[in-house]
Amino acid sequence: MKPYVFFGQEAWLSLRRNPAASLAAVTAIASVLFLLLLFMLLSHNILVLAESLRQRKGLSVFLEANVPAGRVEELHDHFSSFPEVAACRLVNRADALRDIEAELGIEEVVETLGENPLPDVFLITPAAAASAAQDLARLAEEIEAYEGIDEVLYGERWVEALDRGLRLVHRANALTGVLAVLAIVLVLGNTLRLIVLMRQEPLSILKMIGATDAFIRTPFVIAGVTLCLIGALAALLLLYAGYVAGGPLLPGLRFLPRASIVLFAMGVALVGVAGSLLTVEVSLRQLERRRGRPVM
Amino acid sequence: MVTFDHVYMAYPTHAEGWALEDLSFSIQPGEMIFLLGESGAGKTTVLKLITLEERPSHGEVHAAGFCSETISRGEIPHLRRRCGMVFQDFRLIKDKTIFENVAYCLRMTGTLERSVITRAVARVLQGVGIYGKRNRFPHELSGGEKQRAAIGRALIHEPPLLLTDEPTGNLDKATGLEIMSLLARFHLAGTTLLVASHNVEFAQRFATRMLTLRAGKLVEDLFLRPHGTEVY
Repeated sequence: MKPYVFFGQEAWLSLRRNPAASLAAVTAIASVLFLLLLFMLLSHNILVLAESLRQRKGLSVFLEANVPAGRVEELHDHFSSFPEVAACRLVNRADALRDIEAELGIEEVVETLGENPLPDVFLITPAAAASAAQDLARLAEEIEAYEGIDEVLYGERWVEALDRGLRLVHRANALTGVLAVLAIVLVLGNTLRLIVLMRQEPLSILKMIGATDAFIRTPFVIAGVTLCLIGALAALLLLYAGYVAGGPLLPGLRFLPRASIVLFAMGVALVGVAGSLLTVEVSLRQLERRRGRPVM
Repeated sequence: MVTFDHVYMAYPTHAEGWALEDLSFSIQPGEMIFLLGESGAGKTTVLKLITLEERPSHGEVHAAGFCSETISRGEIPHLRRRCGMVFQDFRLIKDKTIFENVAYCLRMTGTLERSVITRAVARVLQGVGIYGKRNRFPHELSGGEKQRAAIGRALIHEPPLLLTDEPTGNLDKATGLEIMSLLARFHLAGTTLLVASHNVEFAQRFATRMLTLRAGKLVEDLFLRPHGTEVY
């Protein structure tokens, strides 16, 4: 029998002896990890969107509301005559709304919002010689100065606009991450302490007959990591079920990439090992002190 | 094999002074020593100091090649494996079979090969006469059988020294005699024994030497017969 098989069996036994505590721990860990995964999913999708926008070569020129049709046509002809512009296409607000409704699979936006919230837009394709980032920036600056133009967005500017949202999600992500670590350590602490307390008699026997600290600790640490990984798996399955069920409502939503899932699992395992080691060490020392014995 | 060198021991929670006071003696290989004394005389404390479950307040204890002053935390398990321990209340793990109780000792030293464990446990359980009950749980055995299992567990590492704390204390006289005879058989086979007991009758019958404690002091050190000339 391999050592990990033996320790795995011992760990599994210790969890089976305390099914209620184990189930409560898995539920608590799964809940907090689900929240973390949800923020990871959100931040991943914003990053994907930012990347696709960064790749866009064209400029989106948003017009102010209520610009007269004559002025719109004048601006269109004027921008089309720029040597840096290969093509300039007007997407009027009604067409833009139809495109969005088709792309997102939703209907009746106007009925819901009371009006069409979109402005008229010029989609400008720069000439090949003027598609570098600094050329786009210069062109955007020039166009923005015209009367009737509200805002010009292109690659980096799209990303800048998204960055504000992304920063917020990152902060939420970090906060949830810290909360997840704390919650895991606390939940593991309580569960493992309970398991150690229930095993105090056999543990004292093992110490007396020559078991090393590592031999005593290892099954508990494996039990702790197992609880974490089961919790992580439950959270991941729940998120995936939500993604599958809610996917049609949010077209373009992507699930977490495999690398993120592997990193997430490794992180959870690492926190599980550290949390278990810490709590088992503390619990065993408390046990020794309670028995009135010196720590040895 | 074991040396107590001017050992004093006081428990921080006990107000009545020294549990052991200026205790000095040595145990030579091959001896079967009975440590006699009333309850509270310090017999169990002597055993705890040998296995370093407690550390002496003053003085040094040398056992199985380790010294209480210099031994590290990591070496204590090695010391305990070289001093087999048998308790009055057997201290078997309740949710493991007798086989598993003994096998556990091998597993904790890294022996995980199933065939090796099966052979070694079978040998030791046959030696103590309960191989047929190897798959029973402790609560399914009589007191004498539990103590045999505990002796088997203590002997699985073939320790040169076996420490027993009132091994017959929870048994009737006939079963106690069986257990003492079993221990004496292992003594004859070369194991050094230290038996903490208040049973003078067994001491006179089995011991090669008797140490008597009173209120933590050694009051008598009596050699009854040279090793190798025991009459059981």
